[in-house]
Amino acid sequence: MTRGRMPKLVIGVVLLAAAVLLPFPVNRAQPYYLQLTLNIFVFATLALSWDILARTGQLSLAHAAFYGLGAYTSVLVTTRAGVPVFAGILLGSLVAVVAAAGLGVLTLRLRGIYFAIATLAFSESLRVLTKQLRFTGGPAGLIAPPLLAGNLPAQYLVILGILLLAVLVSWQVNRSRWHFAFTAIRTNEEVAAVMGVDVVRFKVMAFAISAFFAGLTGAYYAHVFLFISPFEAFSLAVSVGALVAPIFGGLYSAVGPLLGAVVLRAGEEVLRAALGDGFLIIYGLILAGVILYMPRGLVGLWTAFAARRRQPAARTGRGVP
Amino acid sequence: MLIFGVLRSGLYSLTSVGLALSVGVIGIVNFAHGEFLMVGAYLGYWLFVSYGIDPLVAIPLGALGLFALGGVVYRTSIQRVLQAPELNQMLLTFGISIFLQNLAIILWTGDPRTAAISYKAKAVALGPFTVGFPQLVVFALAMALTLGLYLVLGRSRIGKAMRAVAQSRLGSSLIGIEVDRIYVLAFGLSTALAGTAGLMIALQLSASPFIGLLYTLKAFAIIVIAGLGNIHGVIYASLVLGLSEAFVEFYVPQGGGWSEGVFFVLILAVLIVRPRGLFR
Amino acid sequence: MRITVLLIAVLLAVATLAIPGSYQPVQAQREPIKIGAIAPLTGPTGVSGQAMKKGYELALEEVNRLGVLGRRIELILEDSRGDPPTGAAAFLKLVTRDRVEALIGGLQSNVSIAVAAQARQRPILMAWTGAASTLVERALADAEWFFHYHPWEYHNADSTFGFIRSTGAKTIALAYEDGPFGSGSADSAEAFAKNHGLSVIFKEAFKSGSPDFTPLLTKSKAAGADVLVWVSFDQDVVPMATQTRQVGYSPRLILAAPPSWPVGFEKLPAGNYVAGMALWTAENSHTASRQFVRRYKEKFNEDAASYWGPLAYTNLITVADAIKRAGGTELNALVAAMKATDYEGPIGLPLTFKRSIYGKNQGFTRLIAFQWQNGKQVVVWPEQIAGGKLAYPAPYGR
Repeated sequence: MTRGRMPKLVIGVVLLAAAVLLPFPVNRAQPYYLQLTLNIFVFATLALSWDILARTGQLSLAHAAFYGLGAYTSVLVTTRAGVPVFAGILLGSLVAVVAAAGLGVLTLRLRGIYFAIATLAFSESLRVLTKQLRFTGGPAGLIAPPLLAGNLPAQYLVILGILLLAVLVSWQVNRSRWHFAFTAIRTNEEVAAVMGVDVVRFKVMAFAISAFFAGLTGAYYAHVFLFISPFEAFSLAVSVGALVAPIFGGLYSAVGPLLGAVVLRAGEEVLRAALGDGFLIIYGLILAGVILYMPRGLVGLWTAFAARRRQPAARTGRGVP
Repeated sequence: MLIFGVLRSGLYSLTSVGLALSVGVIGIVNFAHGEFLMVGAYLGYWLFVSYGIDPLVAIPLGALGLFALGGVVYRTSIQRVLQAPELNQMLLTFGISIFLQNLAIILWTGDPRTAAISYKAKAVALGPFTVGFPQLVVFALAMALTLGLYLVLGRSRIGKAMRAVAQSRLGSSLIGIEVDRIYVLAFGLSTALAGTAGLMIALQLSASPFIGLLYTLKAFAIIVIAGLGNIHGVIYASLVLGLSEAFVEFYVPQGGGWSEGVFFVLILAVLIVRPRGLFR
Repeated sequence: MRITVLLIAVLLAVATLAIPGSYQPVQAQREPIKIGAIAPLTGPTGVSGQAMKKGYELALEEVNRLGVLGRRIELILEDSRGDPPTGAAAFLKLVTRDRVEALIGGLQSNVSIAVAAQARQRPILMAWTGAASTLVERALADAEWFFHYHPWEYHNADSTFGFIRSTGAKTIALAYEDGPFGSGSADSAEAFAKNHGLSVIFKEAFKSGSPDFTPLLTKSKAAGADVLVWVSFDQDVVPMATQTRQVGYSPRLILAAPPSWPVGFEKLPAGNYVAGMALWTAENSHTASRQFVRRYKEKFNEDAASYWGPLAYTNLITVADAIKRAGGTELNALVAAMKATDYEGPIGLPLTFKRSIYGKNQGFTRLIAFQWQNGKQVVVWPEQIAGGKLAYPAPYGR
């Protein structure tokens, strides 16, 4: 096993180095791709954050709320209290965490569609609140100070760092004991509680971690695209975007949401080039098609394929839905 | 103000009762509900503009058309995810809604279209108040349809079969009910109801590809407040929603902006305090 | 193992995307002048974006009949989808990959901000038709290379209240949709009203897309102002018109300002004598406007309903003209040529670029007022271009 590990480690390090150094020459030659990749990474981080919460069976439509809270907090403190941008972003994600913990506690008893609607209502209430209050700039929105003076490669590195952190956390959670707790809760909460799993603690923790990254993403977005408004930051589109990629790529893993995000966004560009302005219609069909024919997502396809190539007897036991 | 709230709730309950049916009987959370409504609205518009058919008169035709559409959609897609986790069902219907919405944009562009029906702006005196005639009609229709549905579910064989299926899929199939057929019927009925609501929207307002989502959300709120699957509760829940919105818009200064929030806070409150719904 | 596979996949994707891009086409002699455009061809404002596309096509045809400095103009139109990150990426693509020499387009304020942020780092002529929010104006206050065609919010407000004053009305009830579009107008309303000797005695927000405005309209009726000003999107004017009838509310004038009107509104009896403000209407009697409407109908077989068509047309024509006058696309020369623009086209109002409150190069600064009279949008103000007389007090419900 150790002999197999070495080349993988080397590949990993090389890739990482490439990911870090690549932006500079790319930026000189084709900054457009850097921007695209940055956009994809933002989307992917959000997807990863949603997936973490989904592991406890809590299918949230509230990610726009955490995203928006992160964005608004950061913009408000950086513009009104002169806090430096990095600190603002961090503060934004912390506020999102607190809100998530609160929401988590309030919705402990809710399941499935009830939970989803409650989270949606939470997100929309926040939208109405930020829209109505003068303090948050009202419906017109707020202009945000730029991150790292708008330096594209630098901004790219920041989101790369955030994304890697999210991937790491997502991966680690799966490898740790938390994985069992989450899966148990997802499969059947009552049984999990009977088995001694501290359901409340894990559900709230999942909420917190998930919201941390969502808030981080939101705040990052605000300082890179320099403008937020209640309509955009808290929109249903954000919450939906957060969940489409993990579904498409494969739930409950670190790879799935990431792959889903990349393929979806790249696919969008291809679709648009091929179909012109009607491409969104295909998006709907793809979404429906994935659910009907590829419920485990892309990763599911891959594992099924790989499993079939191996001996039919050697199937993995990780078949939990 | 009371009257406005009540009339408004008529429209709301009409748009929600179909969803209550599909959730209650089939257990499907149909995110595309609003899009079926939207198709109904366009149907109403085109029938009026091309043939001069009043949307009220077009109801049987529209309902039939939407029933067929619902049946087709059900057979081709929804049927397969009945056993899948709820998330998949939600996403499937969501994908369908994106598809339908963009289809509408391609076919009919994003411009809203309004049918110039002669009595669209007519008002009727109701005691000391004047109320809009179309609103009154819609309210009456909503009551009639909901009552009708309730009776069908309670009295007719098909209705009883639906209730049986809603209670237990396995049990009903054991006693010989063709569960699949019931499901198709229920879903078709639900989309037919959505389509009827859409026709009424063409009557009162205008048709555009984007109206779907707003009504889907309101419908969800209403059935949550009523308690999932509770048909007659829909009327009460719509009343609650309609009245509270009207109240905020009327009495709260600058209330117009907040009334949206009422709706969401209400959902949150109900879900946190009495998740089974207020009117179970 | 999976992670590594994935990381490889991601980086390969990025790399493969980069490779074809780095291939530079051989420079041809007399190659066309490339102009980049960013518009929302899809998304919530897709209807307007499509109108822009058609306006650009008409302009392109005309410009390329004679060419500019002996070369063709090539227009590269990117869809912003109404999404700021997409807009930012589109800008980078146009400027760094397609190497366009000028940038036109623009509709939404948030996309404009994202694009402008990029433009600051790679200055290029930005002849922009979009954004009415003063946030954008302030964000680009010091940019010499930014030319703004569309009136800012406060210009809209100024025109609106100027028109109202001309009718002799004194009091205003203001109802507005609660998003950035409506609220932007509402914010400055009282101040502008006062400037014109008017007073806003009722002011309330509503949610666009609501089916029922009866409580709001009843409150407004009770306030009894001369004019009801209704700032909303297209779908809301229908319930507004029918429900004002139903609650028996007949102000002296209803003035609505949606960016566009629903199809079929002209047939609605309740909509008769409702007034509106717009940058342009298809009924404009100006020769260039009539010509535009005719050519639009010939080429696209539909009626030009949205002002974004002629605005986009004006956008491209004036930029092409500036390139001609500047003798090329060098930025400073182009900016100077743009500043000297003096053009009267289908919009029917003269276009020059002057200072605005915060900005350096502001184009259109006023709207015109029209009234729906028996299915036609009759221009009623300003008097110089009026095509008919305003019915005031308007005979609603009679």
